[in-house]
Amino acid sequence: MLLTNPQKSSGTVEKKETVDAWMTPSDHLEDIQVSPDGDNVAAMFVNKEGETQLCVNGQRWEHGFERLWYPRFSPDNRLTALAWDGEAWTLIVDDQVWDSRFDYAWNTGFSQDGHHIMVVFQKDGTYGLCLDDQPWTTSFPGIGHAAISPDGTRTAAAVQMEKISEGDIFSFQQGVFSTAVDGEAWTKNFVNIWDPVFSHDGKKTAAAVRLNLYDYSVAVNGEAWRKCFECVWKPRFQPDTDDVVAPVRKGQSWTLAKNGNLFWKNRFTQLWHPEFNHDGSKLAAVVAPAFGVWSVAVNDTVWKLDRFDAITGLTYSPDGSRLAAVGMKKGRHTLIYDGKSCNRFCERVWPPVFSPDSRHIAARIETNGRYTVILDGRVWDRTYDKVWDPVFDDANDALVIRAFDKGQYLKIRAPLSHF
Amino acid sequence: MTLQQTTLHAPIIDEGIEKKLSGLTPETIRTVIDDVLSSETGPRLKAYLKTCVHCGLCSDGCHFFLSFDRNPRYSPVGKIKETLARFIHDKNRITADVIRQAAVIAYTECNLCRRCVMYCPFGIDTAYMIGIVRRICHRLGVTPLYIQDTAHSHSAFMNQMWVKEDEWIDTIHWQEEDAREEIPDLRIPLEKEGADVMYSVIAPEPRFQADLIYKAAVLMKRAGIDWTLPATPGWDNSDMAMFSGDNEIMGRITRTHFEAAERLNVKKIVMGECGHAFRSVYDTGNRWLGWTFPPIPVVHAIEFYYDLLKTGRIRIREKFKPRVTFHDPCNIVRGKGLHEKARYIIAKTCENFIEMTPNREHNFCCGAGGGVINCGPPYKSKRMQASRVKAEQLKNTGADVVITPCHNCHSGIDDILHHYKIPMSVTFMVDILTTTMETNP
Amino acid sequence: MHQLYDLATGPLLYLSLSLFAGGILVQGISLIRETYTSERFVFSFLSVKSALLSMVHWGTPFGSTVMRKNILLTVVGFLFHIGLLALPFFLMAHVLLFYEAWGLSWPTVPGWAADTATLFVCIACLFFVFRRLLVPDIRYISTPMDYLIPVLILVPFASGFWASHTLPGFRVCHVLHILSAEVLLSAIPFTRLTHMLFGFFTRIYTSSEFGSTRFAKDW
Ligand code: SF4
Ligand code: SF4
Repeated sequence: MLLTNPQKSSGTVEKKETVDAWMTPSDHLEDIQVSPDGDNVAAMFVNKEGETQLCVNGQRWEHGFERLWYPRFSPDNRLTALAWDGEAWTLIVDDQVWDSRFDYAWNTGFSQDGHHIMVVFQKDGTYGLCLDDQPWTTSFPGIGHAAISPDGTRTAAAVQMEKISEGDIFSFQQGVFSTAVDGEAWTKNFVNIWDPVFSHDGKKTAAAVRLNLYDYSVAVNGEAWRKCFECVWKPRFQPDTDDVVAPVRKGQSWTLAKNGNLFWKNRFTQLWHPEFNHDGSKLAAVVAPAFGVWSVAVNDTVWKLDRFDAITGLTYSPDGSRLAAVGMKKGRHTLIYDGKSCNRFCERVWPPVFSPDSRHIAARIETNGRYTVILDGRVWDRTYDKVWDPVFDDANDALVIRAFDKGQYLKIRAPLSHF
Repeated sequence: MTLQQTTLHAPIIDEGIEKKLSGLTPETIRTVIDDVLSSETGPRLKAYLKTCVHCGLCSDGCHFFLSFDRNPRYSPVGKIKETLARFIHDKNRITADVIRQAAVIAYTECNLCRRCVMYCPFGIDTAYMIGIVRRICHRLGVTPLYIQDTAHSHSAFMNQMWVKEDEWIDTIHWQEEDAREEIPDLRIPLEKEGADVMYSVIAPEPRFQADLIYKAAVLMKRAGIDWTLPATPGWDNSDMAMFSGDNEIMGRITRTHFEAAERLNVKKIVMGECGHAFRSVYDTGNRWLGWTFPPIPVVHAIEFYYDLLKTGRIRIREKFKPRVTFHDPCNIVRGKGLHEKARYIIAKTCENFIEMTPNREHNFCCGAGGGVINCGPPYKSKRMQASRVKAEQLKNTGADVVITPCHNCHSGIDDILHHYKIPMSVTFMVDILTTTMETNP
Repeated sequence: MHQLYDLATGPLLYLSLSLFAGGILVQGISLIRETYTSERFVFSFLSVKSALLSMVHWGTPFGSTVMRKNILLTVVGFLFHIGLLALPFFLMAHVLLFYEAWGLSWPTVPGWAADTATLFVCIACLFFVFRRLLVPDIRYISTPMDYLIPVLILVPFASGFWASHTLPGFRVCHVLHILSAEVLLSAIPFTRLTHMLFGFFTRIYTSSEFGSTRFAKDW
């Protein structure tokens, strides 16, 4: 394509940071993270004493640590990292260290608005969650599948209720797992608990459970559905009604069940990632209508797509009317949305991002070994060494491209008309 | 050369098998058998059973049969006769004793190695049929204790050795620290979203053989690979549920593994030197989930090393001098045809290579595969007896070192070398590579 | 005797032909149909190239490792199968029947060759029975049916030989020949003799998986 308007090809660079300049020659760069708004870029590096340090927009953080890892920006643009001071682990948020100290901390998680931050911790060999520097008061011999409620005020996880020695298969089969919500376990134990989720108001929890080695079900607030299945996957709460749906396997094929009863009529070779839109009027899932053939089903109707080998990244538009995902075929990816494939295949496509008005779809892509973004099927003219997911500005008229190229971080405002 | 066979020890009491047996009635047994056969098998099994002409040609394919002096009970079709064929033809008279025997045969007297498949004129897959027997045993709750425990670990923590999430992360950090003493800017990048490669291992690595992760990191660094490890479950690619007959957990493990890679959005998964894990992600688990082939390409370590050498990303400084031989792991040779690539790597890195006979697709299983070693110490003595032909094969090479790019094979062969007092050591390919490669890229 | 002969060459012939053809057809079609409904994934892994390559190896004497390990069985097995399949079509006496019935004819094997082949098939049947009896691992897995099948084959061949040489009692043998051949034909779809059909299916599937999914030889 002939570029006539240089402005058109490059957008407006709103921020530029030369990350290399922040370091001395003996520093080793470990990680670069960018805030969702694109205004903060953080570099984590190890200095010659072996200490890890964080530097945001060229400003080194006061606190240096023997080890820092997992630097992540919260959705509200605060930078967090897990930190080890030589004796204990903690979390550091915008250069403020939490008071809580752990023998280990990991898996930082955020509420949707980013106001609440959670980590999983281990202390004296027992496990729990810590929300906003408040650790659970009870801890457990084992933990997994940490979850945070949509508003960020509650946390849950699958927990092991009693220690069993390795090889004690009989105690295991009695059921030693439960779901703990804010540190308080359900009254019942199960053989396995997977993927606890919160209802939209955060008042209820549901999880996939195994009642014995063969019967799978879904438990809501600790009570299993009356029906069992050959297998189940992660459940979901319906936003408007608090009904619980989950993919279930029955008679060697998959479908959706609601509150324990089969709910969709179609049967699939596979069905997972059921997702409601915001008002609960739509329920979509990634499905395999036949072996090796993947698609998306919305309200029990399968999108008629070409044959895809796999599908990921199912995403609703903010108004809940549109749905997009990433389709994979022969090792290449493309976006699919509104029941159609956009058929622009490239090496990699990241999960799609909708504009606030739901009219546009963008995504980060890799093409010919370089990175850029795609908007409504049109690829941005410039490529970079690395990009992060694009962000739409609130006015729906520009895409913020967060890119890294030749040692420089760039925040680029790209008017939608320039694609 | 024929090695001395030791005699069998006292009868094995396996609590995992015994405990549920007492409660089994012929009716429950029949219901489960009927259910598995009618809802989980189909024309494939029917065709195998109808086609088998009882010619016994598969016998010579099986190392159990050969090691146990051609005892008919250990021939592939003999094992089917005692298990599945009985379940079908005698289904009203299957007692707990028959199930006990079937479990012992299916879990501890067949490595699911598929060697016999190449000896059957009709390509009948005995390993598949033994897998069905295991499925029935699993459904009846009659599984050897050790492998059942491993399946439990998988179900609870998505790895085979009860490794907790913090233990995994800690091990990686600690390996990184150690490695930095050698290479100061070395990284073992956890959770690097968008890296080219996700590297996955099996749980014994963080548990006992963390140096393998270290070596992999050195290799990645020298080759300049953009790689990462997940800090979440999914880092373990192993899958004993596949062998215990717990298909639902098998699927969950494979899904967790691929979803970790999808979340990190890597281009491919490179997996460490493990054979059964490869079978799970490339052949078995993915199919149960509905993926024809892995949704994200999976590259076994051997293919990966081969590519690194072939493209010159790593170069060899000085070849390994001792006499080496190579054990072809079933799951990547009969499972992916990687035998020539392995030999290419050996030719590049070793000075004295001695072939084992038979080799390539026809190599004998190490005796540990298919979950047999995971059935634990109670069966070790039998496993050693069953490995006599393997021991002879190893001994006849006269090599100093046997290379095998598979964890199961590694442990199995290690046991064999000790048991049969063969002066040889066993090593992974990465050990050879990291000692012979150029350190200045 | 005449009535029996008429029965054997009339209704029973048609019955056995229909049992054979119908049985094979029904079994073959239902296998494919069931595969389509309950194990459809099988089709995703089929590869013509791998299947053919493997069949060439297995169809060539000593083309697979197991054949090279079992020289006698390979020789006997190949010749036996060739005799078993070819003789009924190339015997002078049979070709005449085809000619009489449909006016079709094709070259036939000379008498001495036919005799040798027939005797060979008979000896091979005995060989299989004795192999079953004498080799422990084969005896271990053998069922009464496994012993009966070589006998089922032996009878029509032996009686045919007897009748064609007009040895004493050849008339009875002739009828016995026809009847036993009909029994054999009818038995194909319902006994292990179905390997003649299903063997191809299992071979195609295994070879495809080996050759094109697992990139390994299966011979
Ligand atoms: S799969 Fe291997 S161990 Fe099992 S019967 Fe066949 S050759 Fe023997
Ligand atoms: S070689 Fe094949 S046909 Fe012969 S006994 Fe073994 S499985 Fe049956």
